[in-house]
Amino acid sequence: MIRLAALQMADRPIPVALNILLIAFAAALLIILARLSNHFETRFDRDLAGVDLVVSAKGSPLQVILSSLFHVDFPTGNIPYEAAESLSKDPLVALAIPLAVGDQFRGFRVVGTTTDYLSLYQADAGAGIIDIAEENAVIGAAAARALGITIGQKFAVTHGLAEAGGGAEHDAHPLTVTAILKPTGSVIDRLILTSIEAVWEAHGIEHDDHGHEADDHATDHHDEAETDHDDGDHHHDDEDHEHEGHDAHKEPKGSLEQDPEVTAVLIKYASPLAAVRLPEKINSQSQLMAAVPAYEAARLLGLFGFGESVARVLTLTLALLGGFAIFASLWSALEAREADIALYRLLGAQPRHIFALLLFEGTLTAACGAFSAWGIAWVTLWQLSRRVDYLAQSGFATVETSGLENAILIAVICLGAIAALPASVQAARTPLDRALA
Amino acid sequence: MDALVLKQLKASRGGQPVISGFSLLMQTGTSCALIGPSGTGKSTLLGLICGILQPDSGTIVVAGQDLTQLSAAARDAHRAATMGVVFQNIGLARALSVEANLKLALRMAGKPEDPDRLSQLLQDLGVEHRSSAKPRQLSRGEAQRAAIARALVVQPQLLIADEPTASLDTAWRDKVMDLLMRRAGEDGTTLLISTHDAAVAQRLEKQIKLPLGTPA
Repeated sequence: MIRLAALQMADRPIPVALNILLIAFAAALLIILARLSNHFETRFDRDLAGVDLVVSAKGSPLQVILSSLFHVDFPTGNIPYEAAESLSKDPLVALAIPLAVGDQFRGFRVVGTTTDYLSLYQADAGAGIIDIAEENAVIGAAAARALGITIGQKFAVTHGLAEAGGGAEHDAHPLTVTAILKPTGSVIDRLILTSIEAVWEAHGIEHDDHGHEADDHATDHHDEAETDHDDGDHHHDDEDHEHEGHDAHKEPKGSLEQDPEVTAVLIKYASPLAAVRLPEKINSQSQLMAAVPAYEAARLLGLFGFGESVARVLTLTLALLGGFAIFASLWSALEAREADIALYRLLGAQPRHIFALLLFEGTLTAACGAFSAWGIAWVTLWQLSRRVDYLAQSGFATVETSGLENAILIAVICLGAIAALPASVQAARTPLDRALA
Repeated sequence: MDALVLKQLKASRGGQPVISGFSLLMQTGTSCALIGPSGTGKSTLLGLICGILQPDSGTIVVAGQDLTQLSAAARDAHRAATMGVVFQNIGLARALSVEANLKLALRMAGKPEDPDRLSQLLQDLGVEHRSSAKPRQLSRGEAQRAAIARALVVQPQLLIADEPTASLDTAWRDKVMDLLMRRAGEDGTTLLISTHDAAVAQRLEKQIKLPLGTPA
């Protein structure tokens, strides 16, 4: 019966091929949307890494989260390191991890931090020994792969976060690679980690050796006065923002006697009570702002979610159109097939066989569309993962199949069966005496 | 053995009586022509014997089985197993090649494929070289001969044909009738053929003119 259905499909190749194409593209779009959405949501969760609060200079909370957790935007400014230190001693805080960002190496951000940051993402060394003290560097898996960097290699970072910013290289303070991390599927894969002191050294900022990379950071100056991100608006104007993205560590200008600074502090609460008290306490300070990652991420996903919802509705409409096309194609062919159906009946086929024949035809059409969709989606995602740097660096798995993907394929096949139902019922009801002259 | 027994058959179509008290007895391997003008119930009678129409009353026994006592599904199965049918507007499945049409008929009848026999049948009907062609690629004559091959391939006990030679030229008409008569003689196939062609009717053992009572 399936073979007969396939032969019937082959007998009218153009309408069947059009139906298959329509369904294939609709289902492929659904799969692509589902895969990308799933990837981004997973990455979001991993990148948030259970961080409860991010403390930074005042500005846009969303920008703070993007720059400090996802490393995709520019920081809002800097905060006194003393503030970070006092936060780490706060009984409401279980963990405080300072971040100093502002440099990059061939497009990959350099982050001055502590080994706690590696623990946050459960990052292990794939090669070498993790040591970010002094001017050592640990390279994320994706960054190492893209840069072709090896253990022991020295490299000079470039001032500024913008890849094409053309910032000055810190030739005098090259970093030495001590370890390459195993892939984690999180943002750390794309980062170059070093100590905060190394970042300061690179910028010629003098600092005292406090003996502990996490707790002791002194800087002689950090030109907050030239930072344009302290108003919360974060305008990346070319004229007044010539060093876009260089917020944390500007080259010293003249003799500055400022407190040491960092870009942000990632905080984990010591108790649920901290969720209530700590943000309020931080926001009451004039220089600091507390951004709640869970809230900002939800807001961000909500923004993406709207676009995704629109795309999903459009794609579903396309899929329904595909189903309607199957219905219309089978229904319109019924009259022309009356003689064939009568012949099958004369040869001994019963109405249920005729019903099954047309149902198989609709289902097979949809199944061909569904499997073509998988191929189209695979090729598209593969191309996207090659052409879109973020996907390439974030461990996007092209051939991975998910339950949702399988559900889409099954739903599409069911759609074909449902679309074929009316024509199947009608065909099964066709009286055999119509065959008589 | 009686291949076909019709007793006091009455049938109507669209509320109008078409067959009234028709009886017929055909033994295995015999042949009979139904002749008469259009609208006299020839096709209805064939439809009744095939089991695709139901009589108002009477008995239809084909190969020992009373069709009026069978369910629709059982009638379908019995028809597939014992009858070969050629109707004017039901010849071949359009999606299938000539050969695939014949194989489908065999499969539906639950009979094994015999490639030699199938090939010989196509050769006898002059369509062996068209065995892989789809019906739309055939001439009307070729399509009609292929449809006869499809009906004969299952080696039916009863062959029911409605104008089987209407699209054939004289030469092919005679060849087809030769073949049918040979089947009747060799395989014991009983032939019931509706025709307007007097030459065809004369080849068969018995002629019945419809409506009944009209001289044949």
